[in-house]
Amino acid sequence: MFGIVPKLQQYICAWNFWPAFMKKFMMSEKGPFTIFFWTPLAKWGISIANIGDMRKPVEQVNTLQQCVITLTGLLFTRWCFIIRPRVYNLVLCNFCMAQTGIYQLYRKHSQGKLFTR
Amino acid sequence: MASKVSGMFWTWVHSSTGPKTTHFWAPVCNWFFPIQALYDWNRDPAKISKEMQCVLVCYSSLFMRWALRISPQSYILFCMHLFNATLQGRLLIRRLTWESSQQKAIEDKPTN
Repeated sequence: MFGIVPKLQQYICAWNFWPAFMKKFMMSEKGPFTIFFWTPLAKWGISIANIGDMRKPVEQVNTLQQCVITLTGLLFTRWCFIIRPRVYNLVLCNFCMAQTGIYQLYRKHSQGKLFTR
Repeated sequence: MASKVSGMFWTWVHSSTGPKTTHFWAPVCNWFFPIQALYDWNRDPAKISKEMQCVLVCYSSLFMRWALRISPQSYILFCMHLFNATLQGRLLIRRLTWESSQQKAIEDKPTN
């Protein structure tokens, strides 16, 4: 928007001690100065937050939210296989999201609180 | 006119990005995130997970930018993530406000 990130990218990539592969990675169109690098990490964050929430009591687990996370994870796992190019990182990310959602729902069900808000 | 519309509808139904494919249902199920946040408008703050709400706000904020940077741009996806970031952020603020009031209640409690 204000051109800050390209300027930051040029400034950092101008440092002399970067090895060639690192400079190539930082200047690439899917590198850490682009949104395409950070969006899969954000999706991994959902799975990580869900794993962290497994220590919390089941009353704090939101059934509807976990249903949505599971459904989104499953459908996007399938979607990642049918688009080109296939990005296996995204497949794994969505699959883990679905698995953590299923486990949270199982936790609620095993305590008989699946339908309690 | 009616037959033309009907023809267009059935062409869409049988298309490679229509409702018989994952290309259609995967983005549709993404809309369940803001719908869930609307359903939980008055959720008890003690039952809101702060970490999950933070992650969902960050996730939607990043994907708002992503939806405008992909080719072709997807304004529907942008709107969905805009709603999601706002509504999940509201739940996060609800939780943080509650935690702050709990902390204040503990501090204000007279000690014997």
